Amino acid sequence: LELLLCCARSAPDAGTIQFIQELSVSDVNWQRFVELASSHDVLPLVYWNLSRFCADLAPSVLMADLRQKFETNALANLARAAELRAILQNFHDHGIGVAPFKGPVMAASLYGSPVLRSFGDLDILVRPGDVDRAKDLLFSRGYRIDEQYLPASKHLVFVRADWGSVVELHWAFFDPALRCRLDTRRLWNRVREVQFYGAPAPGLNPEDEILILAVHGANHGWPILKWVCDIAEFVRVYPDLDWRDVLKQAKCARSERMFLLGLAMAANLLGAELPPDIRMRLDAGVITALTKDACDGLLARRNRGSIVVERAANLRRQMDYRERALDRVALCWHYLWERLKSNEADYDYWKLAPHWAFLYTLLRPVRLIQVYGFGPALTTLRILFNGQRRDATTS
Amino acid sequence: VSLKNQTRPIARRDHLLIEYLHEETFVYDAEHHKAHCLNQTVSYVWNNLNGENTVSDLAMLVEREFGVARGEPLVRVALKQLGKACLLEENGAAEENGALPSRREIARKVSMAGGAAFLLPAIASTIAPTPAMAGSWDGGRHRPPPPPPWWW
Repeated sequence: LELLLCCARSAPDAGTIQFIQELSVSDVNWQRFVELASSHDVLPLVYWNLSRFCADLAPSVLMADLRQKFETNALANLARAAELRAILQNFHDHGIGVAPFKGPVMAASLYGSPVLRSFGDLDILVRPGDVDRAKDLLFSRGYRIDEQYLPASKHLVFVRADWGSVVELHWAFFDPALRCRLDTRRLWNRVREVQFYGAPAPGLNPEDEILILAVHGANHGWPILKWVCDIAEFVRVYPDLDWRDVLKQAKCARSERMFLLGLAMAANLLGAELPPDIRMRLDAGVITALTKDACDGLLARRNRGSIVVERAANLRRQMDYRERALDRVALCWHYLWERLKSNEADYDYWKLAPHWAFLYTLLRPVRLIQVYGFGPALTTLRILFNGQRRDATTS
Repeated sequence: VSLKNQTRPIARRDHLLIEYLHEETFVYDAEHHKAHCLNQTVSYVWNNLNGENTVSDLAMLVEREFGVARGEPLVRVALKQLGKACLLEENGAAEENGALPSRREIARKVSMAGGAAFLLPAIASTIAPTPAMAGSWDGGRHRPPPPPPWWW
């Protein structure tokens, strides 16, 4: 694990390099190491660092395997980058404002090369009024909407059938139910020009992008190290970031805790160097506790068991990440509402006549209790309540 | 067309996405939808195809860079592979007639030590790799499925 944390950096310092070399000659379970790197989606960085600093120390079979994976990822990423460039050009030709984020543009600016980060899709942002035209353009390029991700509240997923390229067309960043409100109009006003393979391309302002990355990671519960790497690389590449501006935006977006959590994880796990005033903020009791919990969860990749437990734990985490009590209540309400929506299983169970369809929502809890008993509900309540008790102790 | 010593090949750069990493070069050809991984020898030769260097010049450069006794066989094989991969401009894409010597023959000609076999020119080419070939947690084949609708 230590070796993984040292290797998951694009520009390790001299001390880290020495540490990587020392760890490589120690008793490393290389198989486990590769599994970990793969599950955290940081194989390209890991191979890159191992090949530069301890190619002779790691087993040659392992290095050959990693090299093959690295090459496959590199070539696939270049193909995706070419596709993104073509899409940007296409949108530009049709007068549609578009801003790519994450993916190849970010990998090139943060890691120095798109081949050092893995990414599975191309994320692009358009203005809400341009969504229909953007959809038509993607259709004309051979994409179709992936219907398993419908209904969409903030983005549509497109897949190109011939080679499986995935494009996420965003018009907002966060699900309204998550209660994070990023001012996209302000964000559009701050879009800048970046160089992408010799051609100018629109890029998000770094102050906006780091906030988006931090909130994105928090909304997923920080499951993989790759997303923490992005934050750490951001801090490294943009040392003159306007932190006051980001904090202001984070506060406006009701996501200050999530932003600070992302920074704290980057500092704790990957040694990101933060300015002193930001460090002071990270020392607050709540952030420290959240960081410890998130880091433990990420490194142990704990499996909480059933889907009920997993979802309840995730709800608990999401509630912890909100500063305002009102947002927590809204989040809880959304969770409850989603669970109470009737579905196919209810229709099959009750088989009501169409004019009694409105009863499905009322009967759903009855079916759930009949089939599953009170266990799942009690488990959810226990997890939520325990979390609250822990909060009270830490603050 | 025979590859004469005075030929001055030119590297093709149009419609290519190029990533230089360490000693290797990754190239994606957006025109032919092919991806190539050039090893250090081919990469070095390719980067010196400026239309001014002749094959003899390139051979000298290779000898100096890699410390081999004879660079010309390496350059010829590299150019042949670059031509096949469509990474040379038309006017410089001269192809070697006849069969190429085997790797062992080249190694012998170049007087490489056994450990220097990695200098043998090599291009790994594939058709455009699909995202499924290199998925990631947040996309491609590892995209997390939507939550099951049947339970809370």
